[in-house]
Formats: sequence, structure tokens, C-alpha cells
Amino acid sequence: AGAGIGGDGGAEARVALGEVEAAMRRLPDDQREAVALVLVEGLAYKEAAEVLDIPMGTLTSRLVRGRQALMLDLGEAA
Amino acid sequence: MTIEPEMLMTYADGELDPLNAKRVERAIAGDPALAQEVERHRALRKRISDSFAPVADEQVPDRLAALLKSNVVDLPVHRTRPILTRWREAAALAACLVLGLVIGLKVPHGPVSGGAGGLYASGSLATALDDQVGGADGAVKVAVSFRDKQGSYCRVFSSRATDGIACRDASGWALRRTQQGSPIQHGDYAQAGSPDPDLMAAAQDMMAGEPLDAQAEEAARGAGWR
Repeated sequence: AGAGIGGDGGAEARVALGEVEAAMRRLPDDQREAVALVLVEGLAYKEAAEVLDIPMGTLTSRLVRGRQALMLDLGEAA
Repeated sequence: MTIEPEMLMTYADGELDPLNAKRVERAIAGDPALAQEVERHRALRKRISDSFAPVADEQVPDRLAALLKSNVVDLPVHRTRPILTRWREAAALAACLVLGLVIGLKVPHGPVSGGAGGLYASGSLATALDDQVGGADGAVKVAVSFRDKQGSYCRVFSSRATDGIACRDASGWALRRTQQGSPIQHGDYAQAGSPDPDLMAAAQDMMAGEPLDAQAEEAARGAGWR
């Protein structure tokens, strides 16, 4: 789903936000945090690790598990 | 060469150091499945990032849309920080993400704190659950108080950030149910709204007997909800 042109675009976009929002809520807290900081807020890995006060390896581990879970949940085939 | 999933993701995000990036590129050249995986990472990243971007900006008024019909114009909107101000849903999601961050940090910070035993109300929420009179307006509003089937006192509450059901145990107000808040905007400040019907239905299921009346509530409050 993405933004449409004209009157429909808003509804489509709200549905898209709803799906992603619902999928993110289903993530375990630590994975959701990592995904929120890196994919939503656009922080670099190093910055996100600092914010969460965890080692880089822990961040990437949570991040990859969260993203793999989202791919399954959102049916991201490609 | 086997590329670990984390390394592939790091490569897809452009965060991999040049030496390892070259290794990954060589591996991708020999294995199309790896290239697909990189694409999946990038596609998911874009989808999530787009979901939180102000999509309203990309909506074109009808008269301009007609002009564009004959010209395929790709206007990528580059944002370094998403702006979550456009929709109520987006703002509510921001609150949920913050709540998720707070919960995940497991540090008593704000209205909710987490521990080995689960989520407990803390700070102003805990104080409100201890003291707030049922039905009174405020930043935290308690809709109903009752005893659950195990005999614990429970209160259905709504607040700016969170609505839910909390029950008193030895450690404090345990949050049995939580969901995003639905505050009522009064000019400059937001007051707690009424809790979701689903929450009230859940309370009904948990309840032993009838909700507490004003007198029973007063007594319970006096006894510290034990």
C-alpha cells in the first residue's frame, strides 16, 4: 500500500499505517525499540545502541530478529 | 562464504565497514538468494519509513493530478526525520512507541515500569490509582473499581497515554491490561477520556460480583487496596 493521488490516498495511507502499527505492536519490546529507533527514527546503529545503552551486537541481534518477524507478519515477499 | 543474517542486514542498511561490504558483495555475486534478501530488507525499511512519513504531503489536489496524468513524475520525498504530527493515529502510535521504549528500558520512568513480575504502574499513575475517586475528572480517570475472582482490588483507568486495568498485589498496581489512551482535548490540555468498551467488557469478565459503590471504594482506599 502507499499514498494514492486524490481523495482515496488518505484512507489507503491510514490503512497502511494501521497494518505496520499492528505488526510493530506484536513485536517483543526489545525488538520493537530497536526497529523504532533505526527504521522509524532513522538513527544509525551506533546511535541506537547508545540510546538503549546496549552493545552494538545486542542491537543488531534485536534489530534483525524484529525485522525478520515483521517480514513474516507483513508478508514482505519482495 | 556464508553471510550471517545480521551482516546482510547491516550491509543492506549501508552500515557495514568497507572490508566486510566487499565480502558481502562477492557473496551476493555468487548467490542470487542473498541479493533478494538484501532487497527484502530495503523494501521493509522503506515500507516502515514511509508509513511514518507525512503521507498527506504526497497527496496531490485533483486539478494538478489531471496535469500529471500524462507525465510520470517520480517525486521522492527525502526526510531525515519522520514528522509524526499529521494524524491522530500517527501521534497515538508515537505515544505507543514511546511507551514501548519506556517498557523495554525496564527503568522506572514515567507511568509504567517493568520488572521480572510484569508491568506495574509507577509515578503519577500509581498515585492516581491509590487516591483517585471513581468517576472524577483528571489526568487519570478511574471508571470503575471492583474485586476480581482472586479477591484483588482492580481499577479500570484511562489517562492521556494509557488506558487499562490495574489490580493491586503485594508489589503494587499490576497492569493486567493496557492499551493506548484516548484523551479528550480541552484547549491546551488533554483530560482522560472514557475507557474503551473492550476494556469494560474485560473488566466485566474479571469481576467477582458487582463493581464497588462509592462507600466500598472509600473503604478500600482507606485500607490501601489490600
